[in-house]
Amino acid sequence: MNSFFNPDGVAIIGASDNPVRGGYRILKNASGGYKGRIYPVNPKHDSILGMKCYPAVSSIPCDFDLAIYFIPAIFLPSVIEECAKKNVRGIIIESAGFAEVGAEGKKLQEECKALAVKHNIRLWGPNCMGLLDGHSRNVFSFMHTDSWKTLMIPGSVSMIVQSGMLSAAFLMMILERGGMGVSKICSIGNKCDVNETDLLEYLIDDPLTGVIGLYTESIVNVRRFMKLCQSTTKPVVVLKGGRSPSGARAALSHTASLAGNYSIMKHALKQSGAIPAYDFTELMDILRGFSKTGCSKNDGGTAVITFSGGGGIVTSDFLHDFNLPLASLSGETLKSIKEVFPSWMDPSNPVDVWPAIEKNGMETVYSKVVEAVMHDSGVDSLIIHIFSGRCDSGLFRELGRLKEALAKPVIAWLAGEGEPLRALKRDLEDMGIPVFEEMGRGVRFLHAAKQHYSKNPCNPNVSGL
Amino acid sequence: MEEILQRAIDKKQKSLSEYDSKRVVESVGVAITREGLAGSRDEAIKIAEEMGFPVVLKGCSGTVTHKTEMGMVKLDLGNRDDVARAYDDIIKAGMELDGVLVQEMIKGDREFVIGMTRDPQFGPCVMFGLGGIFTEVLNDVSFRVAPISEVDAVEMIEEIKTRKLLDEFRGSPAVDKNALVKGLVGIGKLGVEYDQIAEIDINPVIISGNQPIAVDALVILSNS
Repeated sequence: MNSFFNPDGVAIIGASDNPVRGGYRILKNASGGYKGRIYPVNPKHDSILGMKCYPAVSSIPCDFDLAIYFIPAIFLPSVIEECAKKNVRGIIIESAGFAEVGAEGKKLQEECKALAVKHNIRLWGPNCMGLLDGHSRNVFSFMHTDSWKTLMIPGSVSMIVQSGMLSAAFLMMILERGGMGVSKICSIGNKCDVNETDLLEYLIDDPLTGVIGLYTESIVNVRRFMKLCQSTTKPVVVLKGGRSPSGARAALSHTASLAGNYSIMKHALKQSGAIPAYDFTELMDILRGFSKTGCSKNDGGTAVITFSGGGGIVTSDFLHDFNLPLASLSGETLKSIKEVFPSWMDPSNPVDVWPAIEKNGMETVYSKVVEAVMHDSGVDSLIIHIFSGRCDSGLFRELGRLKEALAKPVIAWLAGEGEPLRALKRDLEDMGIPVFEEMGRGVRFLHAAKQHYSKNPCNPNVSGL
Repeated sequence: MEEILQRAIDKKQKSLSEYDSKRVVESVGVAITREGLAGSRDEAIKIAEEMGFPVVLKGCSGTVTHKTEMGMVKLDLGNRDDVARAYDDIIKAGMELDGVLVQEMIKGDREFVIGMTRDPQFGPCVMFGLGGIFTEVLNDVSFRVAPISEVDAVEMIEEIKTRKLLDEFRGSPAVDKNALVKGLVGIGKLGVEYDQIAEIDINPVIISGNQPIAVDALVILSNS
């Protein structure tokens, strides 16, 4: 499997000099990050992008580990034979035209699989977008953009996706938002050989991966998948596509008719300790949260610091929905907070700090309240609402430190506009405090984190720990 | 157990009779109704008297699975005459029966379902949920992939929306959850260990006092 991620030599079969073609993009992306030998293969060209181009795999002068395949499906069997002579370990097949197009394609795919097994070559795909690695900078994908060079920062989030969108356009959109570094993004397509369960095993052992996200429509060898989820302390977040019922099954028993095609999957994922997600952005939000949250004690309640009465109430409602208790603050904490509150107002949880800010200014109030609340032994997590543009974000550096030192997850929700808002979000996330655009989504993450860490020890593979 | 299953398979039955199904689920820790299989009217009366009235009579067969619709279930029989009349009615329907099942009448407001099914992907799975006539309408069930641990069983019990029915409810005591856990773990074992069993329905499991009692059970065989 390592030959896919860290190959010694890569051939790009179907490299093109036409910038709108996938074969050009694969070469452009690979040469933009990968530091090893690259062999473009295309009989129509002598060189592409300044690299010598070979007419066939057989004309490449030495052995290499990985081939990226982007020519019509029908040539794959002969290419596998040629690759075998070059001691190739793996082929990433990004072309379509296999099992997804019908019986003939399925037959071809099965033939290729058998041939590859014979030559001890692993096949990745077909009909996929390959992989991206935030650390090595290896990008073996026909993604039509160079923006990964700046947007993809190295980090702890790895993903296995059955949809190319999640490894290209959508991924870039999420990365552009910021706040999440990536390790390995794997687009697996038809998964004729390498499947989500193989990759899950690889990523569980990968020291650069701290959090694993999946988008999948079906799971191959689901019992092994469950065992792997149970075996790891890394959070595994799963968005399972196709949860609507495929029609009632004709069944003899009530039990079978109630089972449905998703009901068992949902419960099995829960049984194995995986965290469910129900939408693409939710998947990404939870992954981002976990990439900054390596610990949670889960032995108290949540404190809410807000600048808005309404914000506090709605957040409390979400906490109730997720069965997360609001912390009852100790007398000592309340006394300490009271020092910066106006005389006519007694603090409680949610702590509405706006009147205090009017009196004493943002920096004084937030510093005081954060310090008091985080040290309260009845508080195991904090939701903080911040109004941007009225304070220096450096004020929250101490909160980032306390969160790590006390193992109490902190999430933020912000209001404001323009560059000050963006800057505050960026700074908070750099300090290890995940920001959520929706209050409900933030609480959903907090629930997932508390659940996960009530069953698992702290996760040392998460950045910032 | 092996014997019960083999005998039914040899007879090409699709499922076990209620009587045999209950022997199977009882063997792994599911509490069942007190009952006896009667071969004659006098025997039915004798069993009922020993058990104490009221009783239930059911036509018992490995081939009739919809007993209620076939008029094979006679509830709340309070004396010898009721039992005799019910026995005759069941026999008169002319179905091929193993005998007539005489069982204690369990009364309780709370009904649950325990089941086992084989999923093409996951293999044997255990189900727990709200039972009775609204089972399929409310679809309030949870599943786990077998074998299941006691922790899994506790989680699946606490996962259903109507879990509050398991607490003290309208003057009835809280349900003995340990008994449910034992039954669920046992049903999971059946699924793992006996390929001959395709599916199991235990519905309803009625709460009598604080004890869950399997009032009806159906074991469907894999050769069906």
